[in-house]
Amino acid sequence: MIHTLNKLVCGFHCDAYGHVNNARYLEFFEEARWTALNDYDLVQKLHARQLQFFVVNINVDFKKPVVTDDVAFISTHLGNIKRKTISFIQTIEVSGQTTTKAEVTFVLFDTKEKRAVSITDDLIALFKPLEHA
Amino acid sequence: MPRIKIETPESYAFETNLEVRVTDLNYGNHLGNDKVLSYMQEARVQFFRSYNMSELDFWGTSLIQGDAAISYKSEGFLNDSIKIEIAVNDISNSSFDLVYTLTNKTTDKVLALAKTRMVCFDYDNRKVTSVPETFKTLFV
Repeated sequence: MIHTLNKLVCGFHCDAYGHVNNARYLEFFEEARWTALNDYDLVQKLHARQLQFFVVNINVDFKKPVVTDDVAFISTHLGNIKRKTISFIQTIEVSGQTTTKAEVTFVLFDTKEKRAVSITDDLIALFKPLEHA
Repeated sequence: MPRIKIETPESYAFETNLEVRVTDLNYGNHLGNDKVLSYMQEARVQFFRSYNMSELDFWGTSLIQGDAAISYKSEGFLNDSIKIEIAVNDISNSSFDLVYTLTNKTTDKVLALAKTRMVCFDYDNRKVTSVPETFKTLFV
């Protein structure tokens, strides 16, 4: 299921060039990921296993600027799952037009063992609700 | 989205240093992933300023960022000194790549390799423009 979040863009999100700053988009995407993960209790479940998300790669396409008073419609779904990494595909649309697209890749870091863990079947099952049908 | 592979440049056009501030840390108590993109912009602006240029006043045109790719290699922590080196690459008719190597001088590890595609853009007329010849001459 694709998770969605609406976000009103405010003046303080924008920079001296009058549009949302490039780094701010990463915050928007992170907020959408946290909301999606919390909606499915994933944060709690991963913390119980002493696992944290560590970002290892971000690819972002900036297609159209987003400005103050735009309503950013942010969608999030699972991307690729590999042996040690998971990615989320996220897009921002304003008035039906895609403005920004990103793939954010993570490892799951064991905070006790201090290393990234393999993505096992039981971990994959936790992320199933965010699979893109 | 296919992952963009970033090659470490052989040489650089510019270098600067930034220190990790407490406001740059996230809940993992390390440098936030979004802050790395901010560091890249700060370094980029300093790079252009060394030529008395800016992102909005770029040899007669302006710049808008088309894409970004960041590969995070190691962590940054409070007060770490981060060296940011910038190379210019792949200049086309209307855009070019900036490739960034961020090195954590405190831990002596590469923090990230990154790339941004910079598009020459007329903000008033909302149109893509050509890469200035002066810039091409400097960095081809």
